[in-house]
Amino acid sequence: MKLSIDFIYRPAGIVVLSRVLVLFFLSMAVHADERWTADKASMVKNAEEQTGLSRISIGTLHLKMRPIDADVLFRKDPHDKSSFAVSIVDDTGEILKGRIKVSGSFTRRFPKKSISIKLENGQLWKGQQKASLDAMATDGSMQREWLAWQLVHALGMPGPELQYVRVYINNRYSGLFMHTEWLDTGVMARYRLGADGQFFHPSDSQFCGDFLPHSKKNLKDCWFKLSPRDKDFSPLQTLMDEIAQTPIKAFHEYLETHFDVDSVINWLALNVLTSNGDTYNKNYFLYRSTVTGKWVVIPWDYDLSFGRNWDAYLPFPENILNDNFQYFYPPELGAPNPLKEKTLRNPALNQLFTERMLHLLGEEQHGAEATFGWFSPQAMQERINSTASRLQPERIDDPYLKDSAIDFAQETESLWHYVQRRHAYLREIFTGVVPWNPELAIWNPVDAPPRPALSVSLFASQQVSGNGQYAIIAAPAYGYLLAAIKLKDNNGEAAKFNVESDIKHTPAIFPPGYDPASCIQRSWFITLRTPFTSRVMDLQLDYLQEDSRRQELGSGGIEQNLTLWVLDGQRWHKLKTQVNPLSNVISTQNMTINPSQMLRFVACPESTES
Amino acid sequence: MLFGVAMLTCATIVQAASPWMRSEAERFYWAGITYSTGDQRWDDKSNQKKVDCRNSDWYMHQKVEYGYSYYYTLIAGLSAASANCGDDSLTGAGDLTLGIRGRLDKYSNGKSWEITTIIPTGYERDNSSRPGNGRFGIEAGVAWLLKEGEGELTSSWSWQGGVAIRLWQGPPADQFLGYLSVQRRIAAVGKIGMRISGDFSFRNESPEKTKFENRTRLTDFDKLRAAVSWSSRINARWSWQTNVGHVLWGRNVTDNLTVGLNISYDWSQ
Repeated sequence: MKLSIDFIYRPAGIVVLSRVLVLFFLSMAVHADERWTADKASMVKNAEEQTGLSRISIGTLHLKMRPIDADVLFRKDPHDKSSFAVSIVDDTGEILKGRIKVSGSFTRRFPKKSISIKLENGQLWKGQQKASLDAMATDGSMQREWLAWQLVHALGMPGPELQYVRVYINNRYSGLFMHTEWLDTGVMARYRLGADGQFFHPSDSQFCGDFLPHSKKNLKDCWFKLSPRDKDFSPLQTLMDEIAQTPIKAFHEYLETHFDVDSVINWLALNVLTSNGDTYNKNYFLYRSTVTGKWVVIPWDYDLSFGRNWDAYLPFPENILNDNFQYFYPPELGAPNPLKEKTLRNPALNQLFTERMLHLLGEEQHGAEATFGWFSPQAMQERINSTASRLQPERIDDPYLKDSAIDFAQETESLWHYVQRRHAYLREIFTGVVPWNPELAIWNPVDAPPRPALSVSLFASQQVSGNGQYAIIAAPAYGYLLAAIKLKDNNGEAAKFNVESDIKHTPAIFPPGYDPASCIQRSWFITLRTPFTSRVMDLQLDYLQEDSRRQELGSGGIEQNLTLWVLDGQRWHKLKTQVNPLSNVISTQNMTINPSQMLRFVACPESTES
Repeated sequence: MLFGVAMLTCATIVQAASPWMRSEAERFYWAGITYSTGDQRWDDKSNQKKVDCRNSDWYMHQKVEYGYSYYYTLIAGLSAASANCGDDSLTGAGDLTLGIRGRLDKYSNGKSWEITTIIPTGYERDNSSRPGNGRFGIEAGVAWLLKEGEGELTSSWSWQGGVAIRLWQGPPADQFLGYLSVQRRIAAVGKIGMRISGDFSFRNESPEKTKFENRTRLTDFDKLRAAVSWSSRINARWSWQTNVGHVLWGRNVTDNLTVGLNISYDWSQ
């Protein structure tokens, strides 16, 4: 067994040192229990009851346009921002006239484009003059925004209503879109925050809505003022000054006085759960309510969350659109922002945040029954599966999706893989042997030293229950998944496994005829420690593809063609393998493992077999 | 991306149609000042000859473009000039141009047709030292743009070309105009470009005696000109461009060296 030193998560030397020591003892003696037990799971309310998923309705929107305009709308130059005359035929048959245009920035490049409609004065559709229809083009699962907003609403945060809608243009099906209620002061009024507050939104293209000194100099470039329609940025200026001047130790008092604290804590919790790093300098709203006299944070834009990862080493647009995957970024992830940093570094607020996380993870109650365990694997699995089953038939006729290369099942599965892993990681971060310490966090990733190359081995020993659910076996102190095991035999008894993973190493031993350089640069070792009885299991193993440099893909070969091989001590066996290249998970089913038997696994692309 | 296109299309004052369509309601402003000088001219047999004085011409042009709809862009321009050569001089507003640009390809940008009217302003139309062309004219042309590589930080090439016919009411000879240009992005710094343009007379009218041949097109002349340019962005909306050009070959035209400086403001950025 090797001593594990991992720099993946927090490169601060002191953390690493403490973890080395902890791991040394852990690897000798600690056998982590399977923390997410069936008992705890039963405490989590059925996801559909919590969120009303059983009532997911898919609406229909009929639009009328001149044929040439309808022809041009999705096919014109993506940078063009022209609008066209459109009519909405509402449910009663009434014709509502307005203008339609392609919306968004990055998503304009996709064949299926998001659109927005502005109706003529006095005309309303669903109570609003404007309608936003998100094509969900960057999200093959079409669920990321939906899931994020379900949590926003479950937490009682202000936010727009959403509905999937089938859009027909001139009676021709144009695909499934997400109608997102236009976020305006009317929405704020619905949340009893008044309609006459100060409403700000960071500019999407400037990346400086972050309360840092540089953005103070360019306040009007960094922020849009949505309401009132004046040029008065003094409320924001004051807010920035106050945040800058308030020391961390007094920040809880400041936040209590000037902010809806729950909105800040929930915003951070939502971003941490979903690994949303595409925020803190953009993609959120600030509203200063005249009713409460406090600022409220409204989250925004979750299409690049749930495991998606920006790649600094690839050109645009591959830096955004890629099949990288991560679930192991700590709570400070994302752009620097003093509001985030001071909140998480203030002891009282950090405790509040931690309790909110534990509540949503289903670890400790600390809040309403309705949201307890909202992000538990079981609740999320139900949520993801039921939404996917509702969306799947809609995709078949979608003219932009029916022939696309997107594998919806794979996309949906990668969401589920993310949740499994993120849950285990966060549980370890917040309840593990080395809890997350905000004082050791890196608050400005740009100033952080380069992360050292991976050269590690991780180990865990864990009891797996026979409840028919996947047990996540994660490295203690790291939360990094080593294997997910589901016992398939029907004896119902638990079994103990040792799992070890040699990370970023070319396999020292590999199947005959394969070039080890082409294989995943990792080997997995699994030993059944429970005596007497062989067990049958389904198995998930992960490999790393965090970005184009920190990854374990071999040279050559197609990721989708990876095949798992197992060495049972005597010979290699090729296993029937499923690969999810989006979540970097290799799975096999119905594997038999004998007591005290150590199985060695490697994964190599089938096409390289000689 | 639009920055490069905008500056490319305005690289020189004499041009035949621009390929770039504005989005609906998009506004674009361009202003340029050009200094031309020379002490030779190409005579009516295309021989270079020394002239009595070295001309010193300042030429200013402003142009606004407005996206009327996805399908049409409206254009308006106004020129002014200040020129002298020996004892002769002129100063004043030149011609007003009003035009419309449309798409040749309904799906993509960079291929367009354009019709422009040329309207004299208040100067004396028959004065041989006038700052404008002195007659109503109409210009109709097509233009296209080809781009290779896209993105602000990558090296990329773009090629642009346009041809037009300019018809005059009255004595000026009608003309054929054309240009070809190429630009290459130099990392994030700016763009370097080269352009060849030509004005060729239909020779359906006799040359008019003018004192500032380079100032007015109201003569029967031919001109082939080359220019190099450098363009760069000042900020998200402002851009600037400088260019140096020279007449390569001509007939009934001054053999000028021209230096220009242009700025533009793009509301869409």
